Amino acid sequence: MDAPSDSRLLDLQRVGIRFGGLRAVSDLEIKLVPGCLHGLIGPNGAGKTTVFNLITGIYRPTEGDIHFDGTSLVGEAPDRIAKRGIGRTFQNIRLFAGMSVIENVKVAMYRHAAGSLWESVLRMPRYWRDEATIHREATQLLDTFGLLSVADLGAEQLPYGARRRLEIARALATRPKLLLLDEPAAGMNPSEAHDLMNLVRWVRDSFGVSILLIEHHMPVVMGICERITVLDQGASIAEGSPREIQNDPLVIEAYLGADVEARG
Amino acid sequence: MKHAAVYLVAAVLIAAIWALDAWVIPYSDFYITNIVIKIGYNLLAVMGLALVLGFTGQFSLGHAGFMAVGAYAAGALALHTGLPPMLTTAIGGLAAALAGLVVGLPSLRLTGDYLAVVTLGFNGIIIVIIQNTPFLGGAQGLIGLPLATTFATTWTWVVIGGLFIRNVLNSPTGRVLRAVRDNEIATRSLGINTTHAKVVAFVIGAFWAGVAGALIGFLNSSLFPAQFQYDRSIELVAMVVLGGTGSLSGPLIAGAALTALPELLRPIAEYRMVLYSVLLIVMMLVRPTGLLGSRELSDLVPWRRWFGRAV
Ligand SMILES: Nc1ncnc2c1ncn2[C@@H]1O[C@H](COP(=O)(O)OP(=O)(O)O)[C@@H](O)[C@H]1O
Ligand SMILES: [Mg+2]
Repeated sequence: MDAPSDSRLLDLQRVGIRFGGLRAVSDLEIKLVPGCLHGLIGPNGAGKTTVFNLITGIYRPTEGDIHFDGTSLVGEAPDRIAKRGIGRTFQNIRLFAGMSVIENVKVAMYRHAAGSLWESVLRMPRYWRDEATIHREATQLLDTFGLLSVADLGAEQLPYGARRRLEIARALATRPKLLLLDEPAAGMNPSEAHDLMNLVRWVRDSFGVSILLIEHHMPVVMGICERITVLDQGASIAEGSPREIQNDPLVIEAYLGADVEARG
Repeated sequence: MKHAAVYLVAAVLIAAIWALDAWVIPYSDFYITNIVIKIGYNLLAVMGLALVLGFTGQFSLGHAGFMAVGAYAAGALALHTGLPPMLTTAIGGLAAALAGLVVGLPSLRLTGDYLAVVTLGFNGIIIVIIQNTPFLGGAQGLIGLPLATTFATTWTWVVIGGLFIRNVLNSPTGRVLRAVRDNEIATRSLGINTTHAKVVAFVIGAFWAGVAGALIGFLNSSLFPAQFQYDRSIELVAMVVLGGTGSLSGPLIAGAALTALPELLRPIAEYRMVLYSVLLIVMMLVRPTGLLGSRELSDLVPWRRWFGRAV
């Protein structure tokens, strides 16, 4: 059942973090195999975003270890971790508001440019080649995400759903091995959310990237994730296939209970 | 061929500058020529700060300190070694760039207000060091510098500096700088070392401030520490903010206007700082993004096809 440890892409080993007196995440184990589409669900405030911030180095775990591709990430700076192949989106969208849609994607391709700053300043041949390649790849990516027609608009002019798609495209432009998506369907209507989930699955299949997906609406993830971890008050209360999760009494209590409360 | 257009424009501009210098400047009003030269070196300082403050979003309040480093390095070197002033001007720029690296490396890791305080402090410290260094003339000033700053040399530097900054802005690095300004956390999430990017902007900005400072020394044949006090730094910030953060041509226009105005209207000169405050307040009320916002002159006029963006 358990994958051998050397085939794990991401391995959270009894990870925990304390903010003052609050244990936002405790004793958390998540193991991802390459090519997975794994869901991380749980009610609001469960600690899901904190898990992303722990993986990407924004927070440093106070307990446990996080391995990516066989070596520890703990203590590395966020840009180093991203460089190792982890891309992400943010629950509160973080686009470059003063830049155009295509520039948002081009920034992410910065590390693909072969030329130095001097070659840019002196406009050497390599600068022009880099810019041509970056432009071609950014255009392709925008086309894939249905954003080509708005490529030259300011990023802040996009409607909400398109902003979320642009953030995913931007993260993919770094060519990550693992993509972390924080509530990509938040604020969308059910039909938009459905389309987005199909897009997420398609991204996993055609970009060969592994995905860890946060969502707090259960039905949205049930349809596409192969495995799901359920978080409640910072601890994992269940892990398994969507079917197993759906029938887990603890999940129903913690999760659907909260939903019923919210409705009622 | 299209790629070479901007060099052609620069070459034509420089040729025109030297032609003016040879055939027009000798017959023109000395006072006006002086103002035009002042505009030139202020533009060099402004374009460096536009990169740091406008495009990278780093609030530096010590730009005049880098001008001082460049001015005194270039001046002292020319005075004590006899090296040609135009060579020591470039060395002055490099000295300022080095100072930018030393100040920037530790302080750019931190955010916002901290940088403003550190750079303001740096500006003050530089002044105190100069005042207490006999080799640099101390408070009495460094005098007897060669007179080498002319209309032509100044404006040749302006064209080279403008082209340099423009090419930085329209490059992968330039995109990263604007990304840092817009959202540093997101930039880091793309695997980009934002501290490194900010230091690069800071060093480039300091280099052009240093060149500007050096030109001042060789214009007046003298240098005084009081010329590089923090009020000069604030003046430069006002030029960038009024011109538009995220624009290159906007701050250049504002820089030229704010240099010429007090010179042409002498009574205003004494109330310069008041003028800047009033202008900043008015601008905040009627046009909070500055004169051009984040646009360029070339976005507003149809030359864009030939000049490219960010002329
Ligand atoms: N930097 C922080 N300082 C203090 N508390 C935090 C911090 N970040 C998150 N928390 C707390 O951790 C808990 C989990 O938050 P979060 O991970 O955002 O939940 P979720 O994404 O599942 O809705 C919340 O109680 C939140 O207030
Ligand atoms: Mg969250």
